[in-house]
Amino acid sequence: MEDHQIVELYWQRSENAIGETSQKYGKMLKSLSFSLLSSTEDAEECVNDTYLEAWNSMPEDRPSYLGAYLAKIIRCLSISRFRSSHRLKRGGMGNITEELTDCIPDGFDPQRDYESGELRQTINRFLFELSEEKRRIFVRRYFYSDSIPDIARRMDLSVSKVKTTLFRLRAELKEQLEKEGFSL
Amino acid sequence: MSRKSHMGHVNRMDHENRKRFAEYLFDEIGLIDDRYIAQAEFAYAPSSSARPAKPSWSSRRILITAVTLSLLLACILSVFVGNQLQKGAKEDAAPTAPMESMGNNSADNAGASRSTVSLRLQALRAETEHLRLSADSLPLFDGTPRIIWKYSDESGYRAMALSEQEKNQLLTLLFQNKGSRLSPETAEAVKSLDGIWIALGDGSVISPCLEQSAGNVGFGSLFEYDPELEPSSAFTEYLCDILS
Repeated sequence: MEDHQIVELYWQRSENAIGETSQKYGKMLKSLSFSLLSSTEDAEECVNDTYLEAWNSMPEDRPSYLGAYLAKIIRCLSISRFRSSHRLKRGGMGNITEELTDCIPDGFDPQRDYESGELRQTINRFLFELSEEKRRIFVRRYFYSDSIPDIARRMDLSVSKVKTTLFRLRAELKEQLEKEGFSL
Repeated sequence: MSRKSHMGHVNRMDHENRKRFAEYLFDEIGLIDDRYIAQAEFAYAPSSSARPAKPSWSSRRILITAVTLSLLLACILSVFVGNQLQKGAKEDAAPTAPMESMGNNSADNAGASRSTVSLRLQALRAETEHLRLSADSLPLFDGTPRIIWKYSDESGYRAMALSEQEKNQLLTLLFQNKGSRLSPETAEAVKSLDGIWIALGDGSVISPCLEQSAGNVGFGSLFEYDPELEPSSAFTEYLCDILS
């Protein structure tokens, strides 16, 4: 079923909405949550919470890309759950945020209050300028929290190519942040 | 505090601050444009056996020639269509006229851009009558990017197809040149004027008058939005070139 057809089911408050969503996106959602939480039970709970959140938010919202819409919800829920449990695991979120410290611009001001959405727009502009392959690698790693071997397998690239690409992308993002004034 | 312990304290603080920013960055990545998330969701690579053979030199030359001829034909057609649309269109109002009708908006420093866009849209009204469509019949999923606009006193929309180059250039200008934020008073005035959307042909629409945010799905809606931004002058100038 196409996204707009599933969204229409939500708008009509049809019982089939969740079932169709689960069939199309259940696997992706569980995988995303598991990447962050490293727990099957927690990931399944987040998936169910996501369906509830989607049911409550539609109608009102009418997303063009349902998969992306749901992915954002479950990512947010999973991160909240990770932080509230105060668990520090190897792999998952800890490694990824550690990588992102490479992107911190020189002379950044930790006391500065960033305008809501300012950083997000910079990231969108950064992504817009990338080739499709690089953009996918970046998003798979830092949005979907895929492991590097998984990204390499998915995109038919070598692990070293993915690692090198990510290293360069972090440097480029850092440069973009500096250019857009995220440093003193 | 000894120098050594002081430096250790500073380093710990610095590390904590860097970690905090990295987490903030990680959170913000979670709110990027839906299209990038969707694009990566279906990321795959064709199998090696399915990869096409590298084209021979003569095949490449034929391909380049074909692409060049296609671009040339597209340019000729766009000039022809542009001339047809421009027939009879005159800018008979001073650039500041819409400013006056909206009241004193000089404080926004966006009057010239908004005036130009509004004037052009009004000037094209009669000539683009044939482009009117109802909301239900707007082709949003046929793969063709379009510029869509609406006059506030009309129920229908006007839609004109964009070339791939025009669409890409509009989006580049939109992403690279953030529009200036409207004050609440000006937003109220602009709301009564025309709306502009770029439909990408895959169901998504983007408005230059809205901020990119998770709340503004695809940062646009065909069924009403409250404008937040005045499009940048670079975006407006290019849009006017396409429409005129």
